[in-house]
Amino acid sequence: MLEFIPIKHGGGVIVDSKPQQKFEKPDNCILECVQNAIDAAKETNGKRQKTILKFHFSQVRKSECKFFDKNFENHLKVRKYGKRHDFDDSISCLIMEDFSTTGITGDPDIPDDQTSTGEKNNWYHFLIDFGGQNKLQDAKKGGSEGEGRQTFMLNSGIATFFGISIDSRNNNRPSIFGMSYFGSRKVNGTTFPAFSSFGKKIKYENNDECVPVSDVQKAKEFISLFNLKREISEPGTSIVIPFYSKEDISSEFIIQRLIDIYRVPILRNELEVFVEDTQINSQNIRSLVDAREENHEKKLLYQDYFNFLEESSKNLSKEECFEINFFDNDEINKGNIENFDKLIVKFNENKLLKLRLSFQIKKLRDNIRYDTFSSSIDIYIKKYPSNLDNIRETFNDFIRGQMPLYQRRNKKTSMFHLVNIQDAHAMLLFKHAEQANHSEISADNWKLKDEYKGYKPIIRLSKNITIKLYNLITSENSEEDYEATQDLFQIDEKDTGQSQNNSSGGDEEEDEVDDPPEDTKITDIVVPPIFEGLKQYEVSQENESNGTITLYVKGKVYKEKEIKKNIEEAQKYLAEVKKVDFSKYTSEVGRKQLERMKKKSDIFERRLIEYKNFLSDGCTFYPRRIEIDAGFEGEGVRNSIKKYKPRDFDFADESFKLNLSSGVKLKKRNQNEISLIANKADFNFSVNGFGEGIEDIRWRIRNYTI
Amino acid sequence: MTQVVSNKTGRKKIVKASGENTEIKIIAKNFNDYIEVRTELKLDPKHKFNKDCHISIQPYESKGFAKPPMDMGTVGEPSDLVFNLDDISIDTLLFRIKVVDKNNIVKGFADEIRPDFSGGAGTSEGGDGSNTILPIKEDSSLKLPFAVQMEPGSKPVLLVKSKLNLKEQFKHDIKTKVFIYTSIIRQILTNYLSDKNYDDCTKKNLFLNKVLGNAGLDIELSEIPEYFNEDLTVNQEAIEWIEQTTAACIDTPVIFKGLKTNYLSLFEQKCKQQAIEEDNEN
Repeated sequence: MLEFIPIKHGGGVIVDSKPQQKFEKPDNCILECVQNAIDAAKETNGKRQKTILKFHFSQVRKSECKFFDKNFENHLKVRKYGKRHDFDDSISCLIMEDFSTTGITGDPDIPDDQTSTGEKNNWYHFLIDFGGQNKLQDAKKGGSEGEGRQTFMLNSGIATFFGISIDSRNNNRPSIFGMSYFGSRKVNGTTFPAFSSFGKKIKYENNDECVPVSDVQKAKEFISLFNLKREISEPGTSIVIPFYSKEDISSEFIIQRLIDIYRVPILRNELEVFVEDTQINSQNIRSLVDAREENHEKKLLYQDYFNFLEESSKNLSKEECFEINFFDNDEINKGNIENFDKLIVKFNENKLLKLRLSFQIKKLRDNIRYDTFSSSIDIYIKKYPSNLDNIRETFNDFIRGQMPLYQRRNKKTSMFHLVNIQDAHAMLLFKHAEQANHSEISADNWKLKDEYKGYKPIIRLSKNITIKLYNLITSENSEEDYEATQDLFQIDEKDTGQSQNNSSGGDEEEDEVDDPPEDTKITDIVVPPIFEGLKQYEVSQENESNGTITLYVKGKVYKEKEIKKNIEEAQKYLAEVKKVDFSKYTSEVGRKQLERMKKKSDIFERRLIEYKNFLSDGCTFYPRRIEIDAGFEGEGVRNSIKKYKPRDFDFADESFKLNLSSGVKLKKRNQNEISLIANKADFNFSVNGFGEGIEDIRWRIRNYTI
Repeated sequence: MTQVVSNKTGRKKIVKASGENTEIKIIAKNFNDYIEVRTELKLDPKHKFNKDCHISIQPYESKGFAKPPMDMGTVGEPSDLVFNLDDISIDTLLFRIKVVDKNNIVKGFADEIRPDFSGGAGTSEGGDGSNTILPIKEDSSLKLPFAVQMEPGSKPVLLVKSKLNLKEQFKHDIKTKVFIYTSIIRQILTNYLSDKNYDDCTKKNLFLNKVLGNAGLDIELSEIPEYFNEDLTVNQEAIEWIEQTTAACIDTPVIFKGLKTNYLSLFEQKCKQQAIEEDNEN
């Protein structure tokens, strides 16, 4: 199938670029694979097809891999890198396959940069020319430095990877290959360079060379050996990493990295991924993200962020579009933005705003002259919802073409933002500023120096433009703020400072009353069970036929069985709430449903603690002291009980009839106060009186532990 | 604490909450020197009020001031009103409606009706239908980074020096938040307790209730210690009460940056963390 063919050092300097210093993260090989797949996307009628990637794992036996021969083992023993594994018989492999892609194009048999027909030979750039920047001048492509595939070997416990690529431009010709990064070494007295390949040996320009094996039968054997998803007729590339880093890489790890880093191309339907049996696409990314976020507020923000991204891909009205005038300076002030005051108003109205930053690019044409191009980048911003604006999270992206520069995300603003670079000249400029694995940009990147002039201010400005905009907007925003202190000082509109609690029942009723009816009825996402707050007693009153009124206080008896059942029901409800997929509730009504659910689940959590404490106290609140006081109610009287005068009435009078059951004793009745001691929950008390007049009575009932 | 009120005359409750069955709606527009008010009355026949019962509406402020009741006709022939009000604060403006029979017995009633400003110029307390008793405002004239602005009948306002992005820092930086909260809650409580001009201030009660609620104190406002002793010296008990209540108020459980926490605990944690980091650097 394949053969390990190390080519001995041919004299001169031996170079080892030590790629591990550049690619030290375990996800580098995954990001590299996605980048290569996006770069190799097929085009139909000038339009890119959606790239599909499949990640999975397989197990092969060393004895089945004939290419792991004695020669390979001799080299493996003296390797400098990738020493994590003994060369066991059972080999765990990470497989990464791309579809709807062209495959590696060119001629694998020619170890040179052009094919015999003068076309670009991507095989040469993929397997031979490391660091050759072959993609650097293509603005749409992700790769720039030409070093990424080294990540495959860095992740392997035997510093080796294999692959198959089916070239769509050459009649779906399959080619298989492999490579090891052992470092420079001596084997049997012969010196070898840092990299050695698997394939077949050929003579090219009087030199020994190892090139891929292009043979349908052997390619089929390769597919079968590693249990690939690819059919022999499907163009694209599959990469196999034997002894992949199991401590770091799992299905869940891959899913998390992909839905985090590639959320924009996935949502824009430019990328679809399968990780084992999990499909990740524009339809389900919201729910996948939601299922992995624990925090309620962040769940809400994440869904809002997806709404923001979707909205930003639509045409915005002129009212929401602004221009930033660029004066070759890496700072901006409000004078740079036309209609800045209007921008602040719109920003405070939580509108999505688009700001276009236009600038000139000077690109080297030859050794002396520069071409000048007009270009621009678009910046989208939207303030977080006001009730969540004390959060700062990485709900922001910096995108060049399809590629997310994910290290440009920041937690320095409370707004969603997107820097979208889609103009070809700007894309190429920023590509030259990118560092490995399209993660970050730098105005000091040496690639820029070779190709551009006067680029530093625009790179520096755009790097932090969203933070600068945010600081500019917030520092110029002198509107009164009614949100920032709601953490401690929120009041309801109905709260005017004079209301008193007229509820009946026991202590401190929770504010659980539904909001006033609205145009749209807000229903429960998970219907909650009845889980009332625990009460010491119930209070009621009646108008008697003789014109008197009676106040009743009745102790509330709970059974242990009933309390346990309620706890169980509440726990079940909370478990169901945790399973709710926030991505299904992104409309305004859905949002209100989520808020309603959050409010209820918070109450349930709090009550669960009360219930558990009550259970551990033997399911009783008693004995307790109960204080009843009263006063005449009147229009505009703010505190009727405090305004009581002895001439109003006196509970010590015989006209007031008290009725006490067993379990409750009278401690005091005097003026407007009655004091009771209740020894058990099962008690009844009533007081009757106030036969004269039509004045209403306000009763206040308080209770204390003894 | 439970409170119940008797209803000896059997009067009916008139629905004021906004919805399909709202019976009284007050729509207001705020102009420079007056407020224009329009009523929308739709009494529910299920109350079975006598047709000759009189209806009246009365504007009042949450404390003290009240305009005379205005006639809205009878249940049989009701009439909506349009009128202007001046010298009244939109923050405290309320209405009460009454349906009274020929013996002057109240048969239907609703009070504390807040006018709806949504169609007009809006209240000064905007923001997602939610509100705060302590708004923040930027002020370029401040000599110090922040201050509190107070006057009887109005909400206390936290003033921060403008153009310094202090509002943002207050929102996001725990140390700034705790320093400012500590200072201003203490100062507002001190002013409310010591200054007689606030005795009848409704915002004082609202603020105190909020602070007491946060502090988890189940006490009546009347139980708060007097600020001055009889000999006009400062009551040490009041000072201690202010300190304890301020601390307990700030340390109430809150959601900060999406996490349930207590500001004081988080503040202490951050300070200790910083001390360790500085030690390490040294």
